[in-house]
Amino acid sequence: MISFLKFIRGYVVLSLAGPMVTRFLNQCISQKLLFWNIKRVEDSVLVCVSRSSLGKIKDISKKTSTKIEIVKRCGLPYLFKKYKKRSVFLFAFLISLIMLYIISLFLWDITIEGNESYKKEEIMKFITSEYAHGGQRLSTIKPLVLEERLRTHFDKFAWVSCEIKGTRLIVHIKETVPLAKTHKETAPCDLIANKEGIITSIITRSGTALVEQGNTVKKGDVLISGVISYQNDSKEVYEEAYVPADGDIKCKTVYDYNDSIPLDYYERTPIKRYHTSYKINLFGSSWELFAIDNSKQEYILKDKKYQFKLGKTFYFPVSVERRQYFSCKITQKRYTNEEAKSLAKAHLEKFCDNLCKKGVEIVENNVTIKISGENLSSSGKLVVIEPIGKIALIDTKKRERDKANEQSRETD
Amino acid sequence: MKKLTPAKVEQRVSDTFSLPKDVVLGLFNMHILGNQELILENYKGILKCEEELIVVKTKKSVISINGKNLVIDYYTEREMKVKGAIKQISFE
Repeated sequence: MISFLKFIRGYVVLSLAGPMVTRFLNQCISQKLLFWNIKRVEDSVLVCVSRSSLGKIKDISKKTSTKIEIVKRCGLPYLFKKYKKRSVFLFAFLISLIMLYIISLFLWDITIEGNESYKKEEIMKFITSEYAHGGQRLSTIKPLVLEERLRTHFDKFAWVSCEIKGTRLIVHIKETVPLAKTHKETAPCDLIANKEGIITSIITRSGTALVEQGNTVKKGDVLISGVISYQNDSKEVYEEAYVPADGDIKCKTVYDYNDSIPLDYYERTPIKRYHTSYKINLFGSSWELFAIDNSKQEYILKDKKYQFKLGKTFYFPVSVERRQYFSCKITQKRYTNEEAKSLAKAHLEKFCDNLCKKGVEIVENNVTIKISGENLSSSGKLVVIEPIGKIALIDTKKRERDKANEQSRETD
Repeated sequence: MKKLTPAKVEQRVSDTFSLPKDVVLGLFNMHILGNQELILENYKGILKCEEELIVVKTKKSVISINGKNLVIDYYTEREMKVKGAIKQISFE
């Protein structure tokens, strides 16, 4: 700390030579001048002295006939003096620091992670049009509000978390958690069927179960009611209470699977790169350098984006995209039967994997693959056991009113 | 009756009232850290400053510090700090 303060105030390294160097030093003590790092080097003595004491030393050196030579000037005041001529550089440096600070106040990148059912572009479009766009002040973005909006707009989102890191907005999404479990309501609600099927198991945590194992339900049927009826000894309902219905319901449902792959297909193979252009994105606007008109020929475009950033989180509003155009050859090809079948199987496996990720158990797989004309079609039904249940809020006021109307009609 | 010198008076006053001797008698105060550092308080001036010998004058004696690569880290009106490989300290 002391050495830092010395650097801030500035100091010089002096070489003292003469017959009465010690007398000079003693005189300086009496004048209350601070010296440090005093060492003998051959015939002279090297000392460090503060910049402010330099003027007072000269008188004493004359009295004691000590020769003073400045060996080195250290510290901030000397540094400023040295770079005084380069004031433009310093000015530019300060301006760039200010600009860096200003840029860090805005949002420059939105990253979406974990989406499966919805496309990134779709989510991005919603975020940019409804809530946050590139170049918006970071202080105006409230992650909690955005999370709520995303949850209400996209039904399949089980869990959304938004965080702001540096100049990035990162949206973490999870869709794999079964829907019924995630929406914990505090208001009175029913759990209704969101699909048609046969109930295989039902565990009620709160509310009244209206279906049993083996029952067939249609879409919209109430599975667990949020109304609890209290009955007296003669089985008459004397009071009703409303609770948020909660439970685990598994249902056997059927998925239709249809997939068609044309046996003939066109393959485009790149031959030679004939042009490269660069697209510069700056503060939301973009310019393409060396752009050419490609409308007259077939081409393959390969592009790579280079985003300017500092570390992992400080994104700048500048990016360069390299676009390489390749001339290509289009050839018509035909899948062999084996190739087409393995492709169809791969499609089916991917479909099944996606279902398994959502907590769905596949019980029966009746999909058949056959070649019909110029296409290979795979179609059939997948019987699965999956968790179902959708929240439907109970309008308690309306229900009370209806009940009162009914009672008044009965008394009439 | 013995004649009292000012030094003897100072000594007696210090002993009788249990006053710190470095203040009353002007004795030097020395702290040594291993053989690497030495802090000396209450000195009068530097007599010699060389790489292997530093001689300091105090009120009542002269202190010689022998060693290697001796450097006066700092010195003020009241105290000084010597750094280096100290081999010998002698008082005259």
